[in-house]
Amino acid sequence: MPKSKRYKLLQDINSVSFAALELTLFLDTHPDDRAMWEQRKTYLKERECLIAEYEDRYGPLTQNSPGDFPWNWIDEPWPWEMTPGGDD
Amino acid sequence: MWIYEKRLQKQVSVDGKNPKLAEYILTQFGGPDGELSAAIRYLTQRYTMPTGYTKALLTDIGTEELAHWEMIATMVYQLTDGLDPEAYKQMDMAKKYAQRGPAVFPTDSEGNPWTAAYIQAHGNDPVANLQEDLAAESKARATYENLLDLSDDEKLNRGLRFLREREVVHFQRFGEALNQIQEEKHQRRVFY
Repeated sequence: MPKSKRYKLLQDINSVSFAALELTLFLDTHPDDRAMWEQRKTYLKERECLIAEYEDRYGPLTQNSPGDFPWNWIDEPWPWEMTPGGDD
Repeated sequence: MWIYEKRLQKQVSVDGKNPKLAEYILTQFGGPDGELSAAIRYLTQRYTMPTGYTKALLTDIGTEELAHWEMIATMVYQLTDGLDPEAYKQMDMAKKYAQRGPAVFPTDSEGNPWTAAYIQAHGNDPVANLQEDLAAESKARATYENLLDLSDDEKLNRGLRFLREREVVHFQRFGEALNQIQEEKHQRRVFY
């Protein structure tokens, strides 16, 4: 089954978020490593772009996203209902 | 997925050290009607709820409860931080000190460890879940009222009153969700 655009976009957000998190943990114990600090900033910028694209297409990703009116934070699917396939 | 913000939902402060009061408040950290029970209850129930808005409400309130759990821990911490071990000796809190020093640990006021037996989830019955949640909010509010009866710490009480008020708001929202679910049972979706 081909993956939906939505699913692929979430995978990309997951990848870059995980990379950033891994560097967050690394920096917790290596606070003076400038190269990793820069690398993390690059990941975070990329993450921001991907999230903006996702929210534009599919609605809010976090509680603090503005979302649409009427309130679309309540829209399904929730994360535990997400499947790889689909039309969007 | 969760993210952490390095702040309390509302700032906490205390008038002074008070291990006895810390022990009373501990029940909202790891007791039956405490904030940990609330968070785990709602975040567990949400998976099998039948509508987007009930999943949203349990997610959002469950998440707020984790922030309340952090506020309670901060209260316990501030009431005991830096205290001389001598201060514990004349009270039950000494038994906890013997086991783990000044750690903030999820037990009730009497030292019973937190357990999932404090919560329930019924995957086929969203009405039962919401009624449990309404009862939980009432019991948590009653607990905060008990704590306010016992506390003379005015700074701390501001935090306790805030948390009490949040129970009232959550009760209101759960009640609205329950009404909506019950109205929908007359329509296409049947819950029981």
